[in-house]
Amino acid sequence: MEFIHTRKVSELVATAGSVPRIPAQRGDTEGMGPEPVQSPRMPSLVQAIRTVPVPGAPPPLSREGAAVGLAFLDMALRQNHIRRLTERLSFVEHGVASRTTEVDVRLSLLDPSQREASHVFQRLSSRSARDPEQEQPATPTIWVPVTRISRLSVSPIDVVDAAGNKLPRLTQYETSRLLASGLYRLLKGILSSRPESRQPSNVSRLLREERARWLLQAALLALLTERSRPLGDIEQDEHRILRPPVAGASDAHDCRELVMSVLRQYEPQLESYANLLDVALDNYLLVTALDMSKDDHLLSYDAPVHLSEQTRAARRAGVWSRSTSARYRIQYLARIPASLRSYHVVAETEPGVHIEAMSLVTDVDEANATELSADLRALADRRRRHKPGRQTEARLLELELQSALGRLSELLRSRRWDASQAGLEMTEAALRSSNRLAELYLSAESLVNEPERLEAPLLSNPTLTADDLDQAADEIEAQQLGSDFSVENDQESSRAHAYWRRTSPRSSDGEHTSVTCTLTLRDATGVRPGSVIAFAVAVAATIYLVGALLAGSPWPYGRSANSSSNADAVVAVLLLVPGFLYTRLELPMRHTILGHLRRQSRRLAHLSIASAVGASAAIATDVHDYALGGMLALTTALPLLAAAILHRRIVKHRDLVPARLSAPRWLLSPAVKPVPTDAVFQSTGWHHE
Amino acid sequence: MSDEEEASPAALADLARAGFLMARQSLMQVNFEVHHVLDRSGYLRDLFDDRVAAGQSPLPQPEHGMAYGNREAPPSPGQTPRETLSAAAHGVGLVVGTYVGALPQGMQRRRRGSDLPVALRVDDRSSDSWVFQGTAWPNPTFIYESGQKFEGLILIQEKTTGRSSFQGRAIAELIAEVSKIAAEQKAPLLSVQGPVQLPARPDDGEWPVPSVVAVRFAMALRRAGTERRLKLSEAFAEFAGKRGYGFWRADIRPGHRQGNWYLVRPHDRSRAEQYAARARWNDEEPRCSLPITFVGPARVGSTSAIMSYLREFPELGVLACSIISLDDLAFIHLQLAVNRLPAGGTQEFESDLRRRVRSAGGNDMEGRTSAPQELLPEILPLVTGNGNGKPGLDKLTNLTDRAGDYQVLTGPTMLVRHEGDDRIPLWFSWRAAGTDDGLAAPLIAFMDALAVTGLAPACGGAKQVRDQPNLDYLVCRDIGESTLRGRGKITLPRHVLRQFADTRPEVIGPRISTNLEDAWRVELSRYALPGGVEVSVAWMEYRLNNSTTLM
Repeated sequence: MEFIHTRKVSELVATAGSVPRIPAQRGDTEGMGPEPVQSPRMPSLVQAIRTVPVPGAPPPLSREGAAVGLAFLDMALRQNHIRRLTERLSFVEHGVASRTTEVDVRLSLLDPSQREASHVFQRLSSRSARDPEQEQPATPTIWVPVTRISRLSVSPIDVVDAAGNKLPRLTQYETSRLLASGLYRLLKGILSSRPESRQPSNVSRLLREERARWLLQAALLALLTERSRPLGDIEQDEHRILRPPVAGASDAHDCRELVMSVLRQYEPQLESYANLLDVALDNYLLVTALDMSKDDHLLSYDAPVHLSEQTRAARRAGVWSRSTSARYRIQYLARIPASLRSYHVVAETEPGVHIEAMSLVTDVDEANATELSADLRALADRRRRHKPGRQTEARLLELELQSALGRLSELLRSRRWDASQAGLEMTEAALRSSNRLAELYLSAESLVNEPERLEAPLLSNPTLTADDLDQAADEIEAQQLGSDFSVENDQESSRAHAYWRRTSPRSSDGEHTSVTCTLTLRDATGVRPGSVIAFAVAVAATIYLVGALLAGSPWPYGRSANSSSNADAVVAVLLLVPGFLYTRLELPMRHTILGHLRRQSRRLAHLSIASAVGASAAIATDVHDYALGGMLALTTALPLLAAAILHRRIVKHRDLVPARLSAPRWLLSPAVKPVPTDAVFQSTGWHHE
Repeated sequence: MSDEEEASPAALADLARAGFLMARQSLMQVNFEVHHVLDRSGYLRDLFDDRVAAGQSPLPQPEHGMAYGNREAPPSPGQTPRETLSAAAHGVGLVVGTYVGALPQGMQRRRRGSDLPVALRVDDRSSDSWVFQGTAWPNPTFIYESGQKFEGLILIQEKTTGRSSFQGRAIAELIAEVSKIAAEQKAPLLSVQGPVQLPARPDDGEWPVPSVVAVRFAMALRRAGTERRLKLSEAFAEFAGKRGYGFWRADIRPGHRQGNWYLVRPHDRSRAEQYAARARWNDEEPRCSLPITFVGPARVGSTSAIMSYLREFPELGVLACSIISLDDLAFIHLQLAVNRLPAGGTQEFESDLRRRVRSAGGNDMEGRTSAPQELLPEILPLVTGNGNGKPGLDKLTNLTDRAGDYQVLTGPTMLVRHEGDDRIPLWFSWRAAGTDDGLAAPLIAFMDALAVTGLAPACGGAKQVRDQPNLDYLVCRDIGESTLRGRGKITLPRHVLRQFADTRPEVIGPRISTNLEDAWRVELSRYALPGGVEVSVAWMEYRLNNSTTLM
């Protein structure tokens, strides 16, 4: 499922346009001349208003369509009908993955008004009168938004049901017209609820003047229905219309200025509207027709995943630095809507590769943790300034202190349970202050629960200092306590699945929850690197043997090194024997994950062949004495040395460490170095922070 | 709430939903209905019964649907309200409901093609029950996350021994302060309610007093850190401290929920008395009250603007208040104390009031509606008995700026009636998913369950009001995802406890609650509601098992 972080995009746009964020101007702005754009909140809308021709007749917006559009937006945001989201990832080749998203929809979870909106849409969109008796469809359908897809994604989407039948879906043109109608109505509603709309003001003028209203409608319609939307630099917009140099204001210009001044003036009030507009602009709603006779539906669609840029850069830089890992590490970065309750990731790999471990890290408690550390700092500050004897202040501080420490204790508890579930230990040493505060809270609980006691048991505790609170706040941030961690506990196989659920969908903050799924893959073919090591040793032995026989001495690397008069035969032996042995090696294809996992073996084999070729070349070109001795020594030693290194590294990498699972810092001891990743996948429109 | 921070998808979905509900309306406005009535047991139930009987609602009628009271034809849009508030205090009942859907025919006529709110319809056929119907622009950006709010409770007087003008004036001053602090913090005021129940003390061995002179408030504070919460609390604590009031904050510690209170400052009786004496607020107790409701788009600062204008008349008392936002509309209901009645009594006062309202409303007989900036200067001198009050121009400008598009619903004048102290509270809550009848059916079933369990007299009518259960407070709102959540407090006469041998609350409280909850479930099972309804009854608010974060 692909989502674009709306705030992110607007920020990007704002930065791209280098438009400073100027606080909204209040008051009367009538009669103002051309001025720099001051409305970075809705840059696209502003640009559309500037450039769309002022209509001479009302644009075709439907009133009933407005209700439907807003209901669709409500359903797509709230997702109350979606019970579960499953993402099936399949990693078949190195750097290539495919993804199928499955959505469990339950129609009875839609509320009556949402259903009604879908029916209204059905009625609105039918072009012919249907005879209720003759043409009653065999299965009544209902149009339901299933998900939002980033507008940046261009992949065509087929939605299929559990039986594999493709489902009809609305065209983006149809949905966007509904949205345009809805968003215009909403904007009008917000402006009408202002007290100034009843008094002589810009907003009442806008509501009264129909050409200005039409312009607003046309701008929204253009923005939503056209395939592309402006993302560029609005400050340097070439099409910017300035007040004509000749005296006398033009009507069109007045309309534009009026709309713009209202948008500027009500920027704070339109904050959430701007967010909603961003959602509508950045996403396509995937609206499909579902069979109403069935309550539960399982829909699936393919959604592409891309290799992130950072993987490519890292790969170029680190080809040799860590080419001997026996594990292949994949990260999948996803954003799931904050309203989603249940999320599954199922990963599959090619045969012969096992998923050794799979972990899921989400930032679900991030907002709580940030708030908690800010609260702890504020409390530390208050505690320093607090003078004994002020009873009311003490009572209030005590309440906040108990609340903060209670939340801290809860946060620590859930992290500890996460660790225990994963069979790992928390880094207790790095959370010393937090743990102590949580213990203080828990031990004082019997005291604090007395409702009518005017005491402050925690505040009056001399062992609880302001520095403790500050340190705990630092620890929460440094140890990433806002990130949870879960690890798959199933038997190792070529399939693994991780599960995550939210406790309370309403309390979530922000638009998305970021999920990082990390997999470590292992070669499970049973082919041991031993065969490659044996191959390297055999090649080295062949070179040595040939050298020794030619020199007639067990130490062929000195002056005694000699080439043969029958160099052709020797070269043939040196090339044929390793060549034959190489064909017996079962080396996987280069671009497969297995190939990647055994790239060290492959490199060793290639090095061995190269050594044989080097030795053959030296003998064939009739080199003598030390030069030949040195060459033979080099070509014998290189495969042996590389084989020894490979053997050693394989032994070293057999243990499983949390660092490899991208665990948050509360699970990592500070000494652990970050483990590089072989491939990072993400959806279109996913901006990693 | 239009904050600077990034909104969560739920908040964005709420905005889209608000827009959707609005776009469905023919006028893009929310229809509302406000009842100012003489408080009596079963009013709301009768109202729903009538609506259901009108056949407009698909709610199946239970076989023994007993309805009592006067059955005047409801001037209804033909359905039960969606989000509802019902409150009762000092003998005045308030029912506020919002509707979605097409404009009813009568309103369509009154619309006269205008985009402005439809002229208000006032149904005042009975002298003690006025029903106002109209439409208002909602504010779709008024979005708040239910989990992030600041709740407090300020106690003015623990035991009301001597009643005077002090209680009303103190409440008025307190609401003004609460709304002022909320506006300064740019925090949307979610609800203000007074009088309310005192935070319960479980080890008291006494039933909690259902209603004391106190105000409970909640404001949305998105991503407020400790510092901001402390500043807010300190402002309230300072205000309470100077006057000797008690101050509680909603307990925010993990494991605590709505109904759990944390005592910040205990009530200081002697200081409160000193304060009243110093302010010379010890005149005669008002005998009449004028219910007044302001309706308009919910926005930050509107309550504060109205209250600061009202405070320009320092002698004005507010006996009770219910401020809430339903379907993005703000409803600010105040029971203004009528300080002095003219020689002709209530009737003369009423006719004088009507005259003033009419003149402020441009002689519009049909729609007795008016903007606060036009109506308040007319009626406040009459209510306070102070003809010389001249509010400052800045307050009037502020009122026009922040609440100039609000509608004011006033009347009728009612006698102040004090409930006896011999009542016990019971809290109840429910959550109904996926149904439009998530309000009427559970409530009717609850009332029936009261009768079944013997907590209410089997048949109403002739009995004394004080012998019947009374709905003190009820709020029902859509919490998203097609779920309606309601919670309320009902008071029962203490004598219902006589049927039990042991009347200690910790013994009998859970027993009554479980009994009633079971009966409620049985009654509810008679209605085939699609999504199922979860119900809960408790003798203390925090024991409600499906306690909502919304008030």
